Formats: sequence, structure tokens, C-alpha cells
Amino acid sequence: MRQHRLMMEAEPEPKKRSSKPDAVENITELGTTRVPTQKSPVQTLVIIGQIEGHVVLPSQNKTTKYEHVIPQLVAIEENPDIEGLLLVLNTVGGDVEAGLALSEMIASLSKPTVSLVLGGGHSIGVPVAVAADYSFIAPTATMIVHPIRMNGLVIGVPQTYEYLDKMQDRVVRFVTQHSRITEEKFRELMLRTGELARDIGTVLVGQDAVNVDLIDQVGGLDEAVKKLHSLLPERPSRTRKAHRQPKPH
Amino acid sequence: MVLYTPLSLDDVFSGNQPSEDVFEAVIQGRQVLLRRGADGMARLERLLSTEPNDYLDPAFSPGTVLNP
Repeated sequence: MRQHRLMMEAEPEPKKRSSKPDAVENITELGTTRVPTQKSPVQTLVIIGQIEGHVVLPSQNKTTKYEHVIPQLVAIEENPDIEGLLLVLNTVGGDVEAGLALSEMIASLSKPTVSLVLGGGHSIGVPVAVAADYSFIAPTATMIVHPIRMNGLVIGVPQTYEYLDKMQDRVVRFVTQHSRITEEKFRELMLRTGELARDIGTVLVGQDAVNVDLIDQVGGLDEAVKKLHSLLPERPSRTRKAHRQPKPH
Repeated sequence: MVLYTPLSLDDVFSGNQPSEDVFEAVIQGRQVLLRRGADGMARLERLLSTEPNDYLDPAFSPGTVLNP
């Protein structure tokens, strides 16, 4: 009787397990020890390639899609265990709307944010980089500041010009509000001739971006991470040193 | 749509339309991009995570065969 009852109890369990693998089953069946781990207090968002907006770009483009990034930013804002965000940029620009949406989300995040431009942070990458509380650029990284161009069918020239001008103003306004660069200086960089072969605009390499007050500091990963940790709120229960030590197993 | 990029629009739009080989999946609670190769196996193209420790997991290194 007792045995029978045990069998009755034991029976439904394998069914449940096979439909939904859990951590214990992973260890016994597959030999892996992947168990839910605590999230790092500092999350990293990598923005690479084209910033993709409402139109899916052809497959040769590497893209950062807003449908991936926007929910991640919401999750970072919502999760109480996450204290800060490190943004790493290597982008050639992309969709204006998506780039500005990202920039606005980063700028309005209540947690400390630090951005690091590596390789390139061009065009719409500029507002994304300055959206963070503190921005870094690698000594060899470049940022291209140039006017917005139009693609697609142009029907009314004055209206199109006006529309482009408004789009440009949105970018200029965001950049000047979130960095120390003045509007005059930014527009001057945007419309400068003689620097780019096929376009007007300016290439800013490393220190140049700091000299024009667009980016806060030249630096690398070490400086960016240190800066972010210095911006994190102090918690009496856990010193900064403690969570950088390996966890006991 | 207005693109703001130093690349010429030919460079952006000249290629093929988005390929069906790359698709999204959620594996062990992590959002990933997988690419189905000629052998029919799905390999990890990109891990879409903001958690830095996820990138240290050898089971999620690029090119690993994962079953969605």
C-alpha cells in the first residue's frame, strides 16, 4: 500500500520534468551547472553597426535593433538589482528616429550611465554617446559630424528641405542639451567643408571630440568602468570592493 | 525614414533583403540571434544580453550549436 502510494506520487513528476527542464535536471542529465545567477550590478549595452529603425536593413548590414534595445533599457530601469549602465558604441549611425529614441531613453534613465566610443560613433551615434551621464572616447576612435541627408522620393523641394531642417534641429538640440558643445560650434562642425571627400562635415578623432566639448574625456574601458563605479550609489550593506571579488562556491 | 549615417545609401541598401537564415530565439532565458547553416544546424550569431557575465559562458560563445 505504502509502495503503491509512493509510485502514485512519483509518477507525474518525470512528465513535468521532461516538458520543462530545470537546473537540477541540467546537472544530472547534461552535466552542466547553469543555474540562475545574480545579475551584475552594472549592465552593458553594446551598440554596433547601423542603428535600425522602422525598416529592416539588408542582411549585409550589422545592426542594433530598437526592438531589442528599448525593452532592455526598460528592464535596466525597472530591475532594483541593477545600479548602472555602461554603453559601448561602435556605430556608423542609422535611423534618426530610432537613434533619438535610444538617446532619450538613455538620457532619462534614473541610474548612472557612462558611454565609451570605440572605433566609431558617427552621425546618429553622436546623440547616443552624449546621452550618457559621462562620455568617453578611445584615443583612436572617430566621430563624424555631418548634415542629415534625404533618401527616398522627393516631391516638394521646399517641404522636404523644411522637414530635413526640422530633423536636423532635433539632433542638434539633443546634442547641445546633453553635452557642453554650443549650438554654433556643432553647426559649424556639421557644415565644414574640406574634411570629407563626399560630404560636408568634420571627422573628430579621439582628443578632437573632447576639445570641441562634445565628449567628456579620452579613455578606455578601465577609465569608463572606474567612472561608472564612482557614480554608483554607495550602499552600506555592500562595499564596491566586495562585489568585485569572486563569489564563493 | 531618414538615415543619418556617413555610409552611402548604396552601401546600406545594395545587398540582399534580410535573410531568413538568421532568426531570434530565447534559450535558457537568454535572447539570442541564431543562424541556420547549410547543415541545418542553428549556430549562435549574437547574444542579445546586457548582462556582462552571460558573455563569459562558454555555452554561449559565438558559433556554438544551439537548438531553439
